[in-house]
Amino acid sequence: MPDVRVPRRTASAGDDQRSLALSLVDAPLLETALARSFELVAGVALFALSATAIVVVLIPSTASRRTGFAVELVFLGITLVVLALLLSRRSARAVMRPLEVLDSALAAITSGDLDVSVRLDGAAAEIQFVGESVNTMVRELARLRVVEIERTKDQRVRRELSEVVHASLDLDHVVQRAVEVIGDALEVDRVHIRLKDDDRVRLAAEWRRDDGVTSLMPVSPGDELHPLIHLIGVTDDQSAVVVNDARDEARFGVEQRVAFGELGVRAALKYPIVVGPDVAGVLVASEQLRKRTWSESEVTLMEGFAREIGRALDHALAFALQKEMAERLAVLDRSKNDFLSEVSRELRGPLASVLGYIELLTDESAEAVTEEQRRMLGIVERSGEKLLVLISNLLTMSRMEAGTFEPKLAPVDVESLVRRVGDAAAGAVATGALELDLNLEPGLELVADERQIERALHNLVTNAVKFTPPGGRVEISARAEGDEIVLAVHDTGIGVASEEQGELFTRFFSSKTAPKRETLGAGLGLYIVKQIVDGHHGSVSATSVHGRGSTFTMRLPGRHDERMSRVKVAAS
Amino acid sequence: MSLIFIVDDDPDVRDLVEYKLVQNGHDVLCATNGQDALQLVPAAMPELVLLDVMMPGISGFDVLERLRADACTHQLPIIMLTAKAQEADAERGFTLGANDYVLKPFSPRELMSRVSAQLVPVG
Repeated sequence: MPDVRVPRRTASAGDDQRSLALSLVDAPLLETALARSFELVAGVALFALSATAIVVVLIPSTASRRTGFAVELVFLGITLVVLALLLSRRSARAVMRPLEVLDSALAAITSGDLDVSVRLDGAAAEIQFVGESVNTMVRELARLRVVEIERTKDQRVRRELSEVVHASLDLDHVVQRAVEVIGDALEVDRVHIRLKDDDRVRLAAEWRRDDGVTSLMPVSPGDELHPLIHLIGVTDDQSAVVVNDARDEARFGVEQRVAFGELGVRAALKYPIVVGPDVAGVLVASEQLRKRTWSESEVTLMEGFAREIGRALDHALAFALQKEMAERLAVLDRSKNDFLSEVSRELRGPLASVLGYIELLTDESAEAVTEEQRRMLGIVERSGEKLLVLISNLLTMSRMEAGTFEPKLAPVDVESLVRRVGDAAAGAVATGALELDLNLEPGLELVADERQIERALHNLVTNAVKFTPPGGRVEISARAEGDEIVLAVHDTGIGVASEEQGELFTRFFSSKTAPKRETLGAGLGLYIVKQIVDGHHGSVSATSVHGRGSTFTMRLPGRHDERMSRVKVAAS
Repeated sequence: MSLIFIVDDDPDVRDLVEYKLVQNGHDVLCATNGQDALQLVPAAMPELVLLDVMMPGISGFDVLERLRADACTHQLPIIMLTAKAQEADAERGFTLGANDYVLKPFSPRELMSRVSAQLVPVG
């Protein structure tokens, strides 16, 4: 395993700048220059004044002498002016021009030009000193800017990759896009990703830049490892492998150098892809012809890439697992529904014989069958019919859960529907010594699935009859209330305990307070009522006083089309 | 007095229907599967066929389809007799040309009235 020290990126920002030409050797200090000038002027002035004073004191003044004196004074004045001019030129050369140069250099720097360097030949030493500081500052700024640009680029690339990773749970797609992004970001010749073979993941991808063309070459799963990956190592080592120049790696033996040469790989950078505690694959970027000194920030970037791909892999695995489970559940659910349909069909055959022969016996063998036997046959027949209801309910439920129970809407005459349900219940009503009343508003019409509503009402009536003791009364009523058609079944039966009322419409509900075990069914009747009414965007409710009776009320949209379309709008 | 052909793999159901039909004065022929029915029905030329749907081998729907395709049995009244309770199944039966569709379990009394209705076409 090669181990290579990652070189620190050196500050190279100023290398290509114009070199500075600041020479301090023979630059006069500004202070000395000024002091010398001042001394000179002061000396000359002192000398001139002294001379004038001597002339004035020692020599008696005459007109001609006075004239000579004035001439001397004028001469002195001119000398002073010339000296002052010389001095100002000198200071202008040493101070003012360098300051102007500095000023324009600073203006350029402020406007963002970091390619500036200050040259102050012949300027005062202090100013040259300032100039050098400015140059140092500019170099530092330029270096920081390069670092910042690199950092921004890294961030952008990482964000881009992160977006790729999070945009899709399709690992194939993520990996293919990732090699592209990484290849562009690192400006390399090749990028390889190889994920370890797994039950769920068998994936490899390669990206290559050929003559500036970007192409994706997905590698078939199960293929041999790419020789480069093989060479650079697919181990559980969780650190980076950096090869700056395969021809010149001290740690490589001849064999390894030859192998890299045969692959046409000069420089490479490998980072492991880690999921949880395990190495799940490798990410390799490589150069074909150029050697390359991988910088620390490039290695860090590569680490970020590997981490993102690891994350994508993690997500994809979790998603695949979830999908697999959901599919398994769906299959299970389907087979359950198929089983229920099959069972209900298979049970209908034998029931045909049971109920058919009972009818033959009770109809036609009147003389041969005793009264006692006739009562027994009655029990067999009722049990057979209960079984049939149970089977129908099971089938209906399996269809509801399989989602094949959409109501087929058509106009329904409410009165004839209620009468049919009443007729069907007549036998049981007579057996239970009950009274059945129909209380119908004339001319009511529903837009509904007739068979489903009939079944719902039938279930409610069957329940009412079942739980009402002999001598009781069951009433089916139908009326219009605003836009709704209200179908209600009222009985004077045992009622429902208040603590059980909330569970009435749940699947397999079975009253614990009901007296006789034999009156209990599978607990599907009311559940089916609720499903049917919900399917019609209606509502069903129950009011009951324990021991006194119950009323079950279905409210169905009368003008169904409008309600349906309203529901659709609300849902969208 | 008509010749009725029963096709059903369940002997108990066959016996039940046969008993009732004979009692009502009809002659009865039986087949226990679709293959036999396809051979015997065109040969016997009954006035009505009671045809079960779920049978091993050729299903009742297939038998129905082939009888309808045959010129001899094209107009023959056929009542499907089935435990397939779903509406879609009934619809399929009617689409394939069944005259009626009776769901198992059935009342033998009601079956007889359905048979009579087919034998004496209304109008």
